[in-house]
Amino acid sequence: MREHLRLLGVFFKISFQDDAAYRGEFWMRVLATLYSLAGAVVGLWILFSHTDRIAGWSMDEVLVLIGAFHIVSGVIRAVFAPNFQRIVDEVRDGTLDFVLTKPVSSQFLVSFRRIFVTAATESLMGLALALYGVGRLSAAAGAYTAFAFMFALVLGLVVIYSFWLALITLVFWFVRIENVTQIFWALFEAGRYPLDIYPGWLRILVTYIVPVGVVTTLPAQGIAGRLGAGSLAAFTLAAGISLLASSRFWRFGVAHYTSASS
Amino acid sequence: MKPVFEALQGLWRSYKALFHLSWSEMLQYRASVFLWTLWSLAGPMIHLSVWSSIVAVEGALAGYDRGGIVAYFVVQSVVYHFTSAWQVWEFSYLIRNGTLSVRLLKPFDPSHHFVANNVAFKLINLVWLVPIWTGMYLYFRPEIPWSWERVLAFALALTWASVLMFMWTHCWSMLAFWTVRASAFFEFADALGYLVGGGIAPVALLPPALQWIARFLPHYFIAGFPIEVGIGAIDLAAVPSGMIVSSAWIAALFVVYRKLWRLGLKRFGAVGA
Repeated sequence: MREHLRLLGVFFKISFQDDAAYRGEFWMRVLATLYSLAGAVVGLWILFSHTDRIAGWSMDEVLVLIGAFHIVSGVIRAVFAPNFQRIVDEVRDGTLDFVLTKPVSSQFLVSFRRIFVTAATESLMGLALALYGVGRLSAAAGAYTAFAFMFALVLGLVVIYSFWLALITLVFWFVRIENVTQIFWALFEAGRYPLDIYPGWLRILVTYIVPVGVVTTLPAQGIAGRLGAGSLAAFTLAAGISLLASSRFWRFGVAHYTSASS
Repeated sequence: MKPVFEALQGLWRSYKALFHLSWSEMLQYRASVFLWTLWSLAGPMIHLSVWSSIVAVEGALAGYDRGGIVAYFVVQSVVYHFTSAWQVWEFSYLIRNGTLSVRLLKPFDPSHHFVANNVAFKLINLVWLVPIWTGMYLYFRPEIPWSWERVLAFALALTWASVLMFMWTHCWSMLAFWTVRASAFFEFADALGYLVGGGIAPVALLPPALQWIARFLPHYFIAGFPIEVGIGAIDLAAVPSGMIVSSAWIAALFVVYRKLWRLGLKRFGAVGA
């Protein structure tokens, strides 16, 4: 565990040094994210100029939800997407062998070796928006609701991580997998709004099959005090199972992989 | 008269070749091409759901009841497919790696290549989009008044809208001669258009001040206007005036594009290609 943390620190340091060379890119990203956040807020303002609540959610609650959406989106773009894209490239070029022969867990190494630090700024801005929303929610902000929000957010990231890992493991059988991530991103957009607005079949799709919706809805429910201990326990169980299942699948995929040269 | 005729004949031959080329490219990558079309469905489905749940509580807003909202966003997904344009990424790429020079050697303007590519993409995807749209129509049961005049007006507005979007994107593409971030600027402008041009909401549901500005912007004529014509939110009598504004935008953007193209080419030649 300590060794893994040390490695994580090293990965972060190297990534930071790499990204620090592209400062223009950094500011461009920050600007683009601010712009898209502003767009989301204006969109909300348009929606809530016609109503007080959308499917039972107040504007401040949806603000927290959009904050959670950007926190998660930032982590995906900073950590999951670049690392998993690299696996796809390496399987195609045959260089994944160098990773598999290293004396650490291959899953750990492929998941975290490059962090796109610039993209992580989206998470920070998402957090700021979420906190702003929390500040306006007068009723909330007890110790339990704050805990439920953070805990559900972490669980959501675990679920999304497991989903991407399982998806990318398919690369061992189908080399051209990156297009499938397009489906993920298209469905991920649904997480910008509470799941309660969607028709049943779509809700099932983004909850159980491609679990992008729960990741933002559950934390926001947590802060609104609508996420009971029972749901939280069930979510914990589901996240644990998906993590275990996806890492088993990864190991199965690696075992199945015949590498480039043999 | 004869030289004009011959020029047209040459253009026709080029188009046949280009179209054939684009068509086979798309068939080669049919899986990824299909996945890209999903994007034209995601936004409309999400906003259909949001507005439906608002209308369910508040009742009709600015004339949009549940049937109207559903009609708006189902037609929006059709309009989005026919008005997509993405050459700003391709053009930036051609300039960055210098392959624009190769295209310039061909006996026709490189823009024709983008036109053929655009049309091929839109046609080939109808294979799966028409069943999807039919499914959406049967599932959501939108309230759309049918008449031949309206179908014709919708087809015209939609054609104009796709030409307008193409010209709009083309102007932004030309910025690639000067900056590597042409696509980023395009996305900035486009996100604003999505917000006020009928993307996240019918323009009639925007705050009054925003509505007033929105109805002059090209994005209204790319998204909001053809959708409203299609679902009957605009009287047939008001269609021609909208088409005139739309045509004016197309003409203006064409002039801007030609100007930028000439300036850009000079610059491109100057860097040694």
